[in-house]
Amino acid sequence: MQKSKTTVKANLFTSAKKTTPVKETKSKVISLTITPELEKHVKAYVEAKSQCKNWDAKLSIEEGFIKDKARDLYLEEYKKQGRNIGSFKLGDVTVSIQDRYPKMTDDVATIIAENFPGVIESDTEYLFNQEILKKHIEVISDALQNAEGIPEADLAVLIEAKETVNVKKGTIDTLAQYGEQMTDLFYAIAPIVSMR
Amino acid sequence: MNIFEQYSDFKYIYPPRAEVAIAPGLLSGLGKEWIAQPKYNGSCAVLFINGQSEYKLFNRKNEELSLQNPIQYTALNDSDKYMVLCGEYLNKNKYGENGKPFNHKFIIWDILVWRGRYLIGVTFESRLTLLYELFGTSRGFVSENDMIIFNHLIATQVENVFMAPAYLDNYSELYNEIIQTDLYEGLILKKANAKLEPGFRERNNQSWQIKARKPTLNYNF
Repeated sequence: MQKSKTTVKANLFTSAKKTTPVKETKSKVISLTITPELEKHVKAYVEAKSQCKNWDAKLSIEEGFIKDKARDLYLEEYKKQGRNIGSFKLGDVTVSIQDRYPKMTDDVATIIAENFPGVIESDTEYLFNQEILKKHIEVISDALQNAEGIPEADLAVLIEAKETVNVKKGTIDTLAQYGEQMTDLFYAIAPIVSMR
Repeated sequence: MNIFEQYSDFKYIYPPRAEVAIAPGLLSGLGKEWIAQPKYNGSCAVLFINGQSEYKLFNRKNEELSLQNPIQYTALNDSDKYMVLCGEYLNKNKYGENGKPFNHKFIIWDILVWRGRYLIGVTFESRLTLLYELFGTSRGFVSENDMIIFNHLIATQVENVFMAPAYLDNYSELYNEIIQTDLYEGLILKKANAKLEPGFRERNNQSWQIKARKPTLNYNF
């Protein structure tokens, strides 16, 4: 039995479309005459900007050095106490080893999972196949409201599954159970280190 | 032993690149713990050589490098296992030390995998020593019709493959000299005792290296 279409509904996707941004044409940059006073400020600005970049570079290098040492000291203390010590102070700086981990590729996750079973978990994200979606955009729009009119073959591949691998939440609290290998695991999962 | 140490199957490794820049004027203040290498104006590339028979040349975005000329890369490998080298593939038609375009060459500046071992935890100084042992120290290059002596390139045993020399002091003077050549963008400075970290993410090994670049139309410090 076919459902009758009693009302014409707006296409869901069309209504979600963004308007095309107006392209800005690149204009040739012209230089205007500046007063000696303004020139003084421009020079000071350029100088300050340059110094800022130099300080940023210094900050980045020092941060990298401290973080390297902080990781080692954290692991040393973790081993001594047999538990996650949480945040800690290094002089005036507070360091936090977080229960957050950077994304990793499948082959890296496989190596970690082989060496440390239980640390890696996978999630599946479902996505529309864009080609099929565009091909049947009107029908799919209706289908979402009336569920009708898509060939079975297309329907079968309409939704794509994307698998992602992650380090399990809470892994940072379980390092002690890996004994001598805890350092290897720590560096493999690379928990995010923050400093303030 | 690091769990990533064994490198027997191809896995892309992102190159250890400097992101942080300093003004060239600050180079003179850098101490002895740093080692400088010229910064070449090409495409950052990672060369994966599997034994003596096959290789893959990738860019820094995990894509196979397009528009390459054939080079005997496999002759660089001294084992039947994997060797992974980082370098610059020259494809930007920049002028070299002799004032002529210097194209389709590969310049090695780091080694990540040697004899199937991913060198995680090995210091930059030790990796550099290994590179010197593997690829010699000749500044001269003899071709069919010519003999060329380079100031800031080391010729290897493989035609069109070079190695970046390392410098231990006078960075400011070195920078001023090096930037006179179109091909050379400036200097990369790396901490000698910095240990290699895994490169499975694009941003890696950034805490121990900085760059100083000459100004261009698109770049100014």
